[in-house]
Amino acid sequence: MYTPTEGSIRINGHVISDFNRDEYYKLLSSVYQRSTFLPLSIARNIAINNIDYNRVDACIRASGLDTKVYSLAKKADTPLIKEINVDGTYLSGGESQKLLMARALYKDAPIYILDEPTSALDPIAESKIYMQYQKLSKDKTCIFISHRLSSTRFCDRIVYMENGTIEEIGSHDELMRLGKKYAELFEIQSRYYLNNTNEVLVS
Amino acid sequence: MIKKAVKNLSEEMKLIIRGYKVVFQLDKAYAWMQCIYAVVSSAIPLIGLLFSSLIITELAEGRNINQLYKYVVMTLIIEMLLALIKEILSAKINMHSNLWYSKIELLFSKINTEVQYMYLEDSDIKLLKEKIKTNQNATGAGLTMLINLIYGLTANLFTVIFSISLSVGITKSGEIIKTNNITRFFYTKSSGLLILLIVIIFLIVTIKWNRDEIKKVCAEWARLPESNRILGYYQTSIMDNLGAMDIRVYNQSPVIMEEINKWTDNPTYIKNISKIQKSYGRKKTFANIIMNVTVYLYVGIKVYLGIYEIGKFIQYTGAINKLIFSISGMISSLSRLFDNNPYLKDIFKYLDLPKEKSSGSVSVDISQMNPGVIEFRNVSFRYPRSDTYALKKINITIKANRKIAIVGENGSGKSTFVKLLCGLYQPSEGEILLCGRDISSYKKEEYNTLFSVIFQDFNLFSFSLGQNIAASVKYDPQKAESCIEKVGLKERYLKMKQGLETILYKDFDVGGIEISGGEAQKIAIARALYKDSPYIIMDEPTAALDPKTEFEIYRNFNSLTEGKTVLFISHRLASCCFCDEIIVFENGEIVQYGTHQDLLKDENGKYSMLWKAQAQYYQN
Repeated sequence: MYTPTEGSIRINGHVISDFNRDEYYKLLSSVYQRSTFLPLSIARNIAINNIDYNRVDACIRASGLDTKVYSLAKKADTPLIKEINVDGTYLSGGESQKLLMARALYKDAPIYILDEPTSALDPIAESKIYMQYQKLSKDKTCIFISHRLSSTRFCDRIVYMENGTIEEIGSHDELMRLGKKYAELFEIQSRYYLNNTNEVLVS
Repeated sequence: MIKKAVKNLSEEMKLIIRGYKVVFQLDKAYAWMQCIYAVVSSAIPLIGLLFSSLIITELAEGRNINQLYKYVVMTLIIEMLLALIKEILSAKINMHSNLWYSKIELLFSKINTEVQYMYLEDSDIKLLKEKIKTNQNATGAGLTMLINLIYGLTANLFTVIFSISLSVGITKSGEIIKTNNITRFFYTKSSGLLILLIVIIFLIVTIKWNRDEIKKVCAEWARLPESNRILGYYQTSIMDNLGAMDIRVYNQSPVIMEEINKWTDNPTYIKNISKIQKSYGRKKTFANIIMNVTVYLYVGIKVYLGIYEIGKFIQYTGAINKLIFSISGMISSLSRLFDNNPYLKDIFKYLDLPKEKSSGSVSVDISQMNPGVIEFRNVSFRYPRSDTYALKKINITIKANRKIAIVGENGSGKSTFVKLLCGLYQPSEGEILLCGRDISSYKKEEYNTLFSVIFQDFNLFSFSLGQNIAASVKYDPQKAESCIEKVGLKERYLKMKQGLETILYKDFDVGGIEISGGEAQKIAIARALYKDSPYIIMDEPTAALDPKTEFEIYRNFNSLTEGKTVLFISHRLASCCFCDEIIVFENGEIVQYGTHQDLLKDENGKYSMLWKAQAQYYQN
């Protein structure tokens, strides 16, 4: 989306601006906090160009959207955006995030970019999605942006950024041993989840 | 059959009358000026016709110079006066027509503030509103059609009456002077009746054609709003920054372009409309020529035979011509008027949505409110048109000055619960009490002052920072600054050159500043603190904040909310630790209620499940 003002970004040694733009985007599957959907069918929103219904079905199931989709009369052919489609359906915040996941799965690109993909989900749904992403990203590169440090537990490497620079890089255990900024942040957020919560409150 | 038709007609008339009542309420002057303008514009050519006839007759027969002089001066004066009135009205009407759309907007905005809140959230109602808007913008269907039709209806009606009165005498029979077999016929009454019959048959046929044509054209136009609705969505929602990333990463542009082309590229309805208009246009032109030739011949022969004076030639041919046009015009105006009714129906459906119950009469006395106990008694709630309850038999008492966390899975009823408490929804069953009184018995405006609410999807305005925090034009700078400090926004605030006068966003002011999601959330919290109400309701207030800021807010939570009753909805269960009690919702019911420690003891309880789902990632 942006090009660097200075320096270069490389994939396997090649500067990314040397890639054909459309070819480069084929490498990426992204999921953002919020997204807009096309006022077309659910299947079209997942597959975008050529619809393979078997794969659409598999992605709907994997993202946990199957109960919703298969309760609809027209199933995956139901259009979205009820405000403009008379026979459209409405997706809640959680269901929208699941649909975004299904879309990313369908694309099956080698690199996943996940930007706060669970912000609208309750703890149980969030935990399920974490496990799904962990499973699907086995043979992929996955970049996970999050305020919720719980999500770092299944990541191999954590990049801690502050004021536009990288402050720390390492695995969760390495950074915790380092005991600097990441450790402090993790400490802050996990404090309430440890057993002696009341003592923390008093202190 | 007939009974039904009469009933239908009276229903349709009722709609039209109500529509015009609304139109006259919206802009009485505009509506009346349209009437007068229509009469004046259609009088000008008719007056010209009348006087031309008089002048020509005078020139040919009377040759009285004084009489001629009188006619010419009268024509000039009347025509000039009418033209002047027309010009003045035209300028005024233009001004009103520019303001017309904002008057309609205002009407709908007013309705939006009065309608029961839950209907505004209903997606069917949103669709209805979108339909009304796009119909209005595409073809003016609805109220705009009514105001525009005033001209056609009045002008055509006036012309019909005037031209009929100008045609009186066209069938005049005369004393037979020349006894030629062919010409004799024109002296008789039956020739007059024959010409009347021809005119009437012609009118019936053209009326039918007009009616058919308009029906077909309207049916095609009806597809325009749908295409506008869809194109509008692509323009506003998909083409913004958010959509732009998806379009690139997911290669959506072929699909989007195909869709847009489908709706814009030579849409079939435009083609169909031009086809319909062409075919009817040909038929009508042909019939008009025949009609005109017939009338000209008839009137010409009678003038030649001396049955009426020469000036009548212009008067009768002109009047019949006008009559034919105005009758077709009248039919097309009436057709449009009746075809507009379904759109009016939509509009009235929206205007008639249930309004907020009238405010109660009991005054809210804050000093008496403390301690104010909130009690839900057997409260159930169902959304409109829904069979299932969003909340079922809720019974709970919330004591004053407690900090309450509300947790549960997505869609378990948490937000519905606080919306009921705020009076945004009314319970389907049961009652909600504050200090022992049903909340609907309080004066609505005063009841609203009791709550400071921070909703998930809050809205800041493109006004100054101070105005946003105070939610009013005037604000107390010291109080606003202390709220800024409390929510941890001081550092950023000190960097703002214009302080509290700094404008947020760039919508109205190029000097406005852009703020991040986290900063917006802090400003929203500051706004709630500024309001300083005894009850604070927060729905996921820290979702967009980074862990450090979140922790700051949590840590200061007790001092931020000292002496207040707080209801706190959050998916971040850490927030439960500093709350006195926790309400756990599941499928619209309260399944657990108690302190964090107590609820965790029930290892199979919902709360433990939620807690473990989140805590596992933080524990080793």
